[in-house]
Amino acid sequence: MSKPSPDKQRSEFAEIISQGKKYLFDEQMERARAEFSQAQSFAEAHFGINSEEVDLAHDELINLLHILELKDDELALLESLVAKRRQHEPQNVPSLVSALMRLAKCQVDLEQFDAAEAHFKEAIASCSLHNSEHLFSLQLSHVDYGRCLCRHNQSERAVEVLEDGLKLYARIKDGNVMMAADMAMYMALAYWNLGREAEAVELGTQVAPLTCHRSAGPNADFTRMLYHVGGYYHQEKKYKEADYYLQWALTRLFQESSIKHRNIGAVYHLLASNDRLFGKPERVERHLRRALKFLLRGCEAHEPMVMDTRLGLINVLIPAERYAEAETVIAEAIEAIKNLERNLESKQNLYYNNLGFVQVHLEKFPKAEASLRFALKVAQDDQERAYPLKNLGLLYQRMGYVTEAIDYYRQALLLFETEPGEPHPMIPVIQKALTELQNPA
Amino acid sequence: MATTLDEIADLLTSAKLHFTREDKFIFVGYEMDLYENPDKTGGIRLIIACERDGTLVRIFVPAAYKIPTGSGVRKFSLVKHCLNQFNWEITGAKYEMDDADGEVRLGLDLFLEDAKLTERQLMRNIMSVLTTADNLHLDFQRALEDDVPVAGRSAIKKTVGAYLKKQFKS
Repeated sequence: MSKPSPDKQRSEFAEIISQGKKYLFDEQMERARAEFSQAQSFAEAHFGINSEEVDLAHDELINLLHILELKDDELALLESLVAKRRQHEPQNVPSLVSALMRLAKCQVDLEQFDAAEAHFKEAIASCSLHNSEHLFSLQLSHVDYGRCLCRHNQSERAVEVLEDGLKLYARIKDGNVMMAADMAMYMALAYWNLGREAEAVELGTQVAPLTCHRSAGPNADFTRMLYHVGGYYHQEKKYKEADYYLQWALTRLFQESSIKHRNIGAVYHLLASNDRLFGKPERVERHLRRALKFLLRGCEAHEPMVMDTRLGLINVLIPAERYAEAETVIAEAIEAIKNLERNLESKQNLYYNNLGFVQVHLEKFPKAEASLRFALKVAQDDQERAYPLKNLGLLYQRMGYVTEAIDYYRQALLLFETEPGEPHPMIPVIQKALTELQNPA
Repeated sequence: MATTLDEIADLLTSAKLHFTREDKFIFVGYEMDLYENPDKTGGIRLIIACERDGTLVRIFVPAAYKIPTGSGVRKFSLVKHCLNQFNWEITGAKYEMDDADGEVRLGLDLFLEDAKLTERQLMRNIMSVLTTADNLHLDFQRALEDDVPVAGRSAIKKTVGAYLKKQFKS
């Protein structure tokens, strides 16, 4: 009986893989696993342990085990692949390195960090700088090892490994630019984690046009770096640059396959703060509302960033005299902190005082009085008492109760005047109101 | 088999999209995540029109951007280069510019010929226009407002490669 031709064997192999994929599509996982296992054995027997076909069968099998969350099986399979490659064809370095890297990544997922690190190191040590066939594997090993260290808060070592990788790139003739840029971006992240912010921003901004190019797939780590750069420029009062990097981070976040509501909300939140200082007031409210929308999908309603966003919105609506809208936002904020145990009084004072103020303007006088008296009741110090007193003065002024209005304004004035530092901006406002009340036209 | 505006309106209703109908067009309004129209608000106004006896459906955003009046040849040239680069990179939607007034339009043409328009097909094409508007807004805005030219990935690769070589040369 003659031996089947290689083409026929390849076609038979392709058929087994295709059948496995069909089962996978139909969610018949056990059958899919059986087909991929058969494909693996077939490939090892006919094409050799280091063949592309073995890699393909392994990929399918590993992906399937990953979907089924059978991490131990995945790990066992990868360990056996590495053992086979070490034993049968140790001279085929790219193939061995590829298996080592996959094993290391699986170990990282299983939080077997030391074992993973040993495999990353073995992958790097297996490659020779003088063999051109090894250079791609060598660069790839540095990227993956550096990324792993970076993600596991081993930033100092990440910097060392990535720097080695980048020096290697600078030395060789036809190095892979994309991998070098990835290394540089991870190095920027590692710098950032080490508090070396200026170096992180310098490096990150140089390589981001390539790693975060609109035609490249999004990478959550790199998007985080864009956000850091935006935040850095915001702190440095470079608002135009901050605006650009924050919008860039948002663009990338929206391109990710799963929407990260919390992250999107956080970027919109910072963007709104930047808009205010950048001289784009027309965008502040839009960005705050978007921040709130996304944050409420990804966080608890009482979390500090959500509350801070609400407060920002209130501070936009009240000066714009959009009191009815402000009342709704404040009511939502009060509802959110209703059952909180910590810092309850201070927050209640702030929101009930704001609520009372807008209710005065909406001429809901009984409600306003109740809100302001409650704000006064929960006030912790004179500073927290001053505003509700001033607003009670305003309430009685609007209701035409001159004596009460003067009384509350005077109490508030006394508290504002005794505050240390610069004269409080409320002082002239109250003095003007008192003058009007004491000298009616 | 062609289509009509009535059929398109039915498909939009079925997809639960808000729209307004006029004699020859359908207007669809959208609140965008990133795109800002020339009035600097976050809304986009999409027009759907039927042409050539209903064998061609056009989906477009008129005046998606506007080159400021009085801009010189340099600005027009920069924006044209930007549009060219985008059109090279994207599929589906495309940008075009009216040289006479600097209006930049984003849209796509859907040739139906003898096919029946389905809801999925219509929505896919509408989403293609909207996603393009969001994804490319930042780069477009930079070119339009700050005269920063748009570069393709291969050009950037060279620059970044040279920078890293210089920076990490031992």
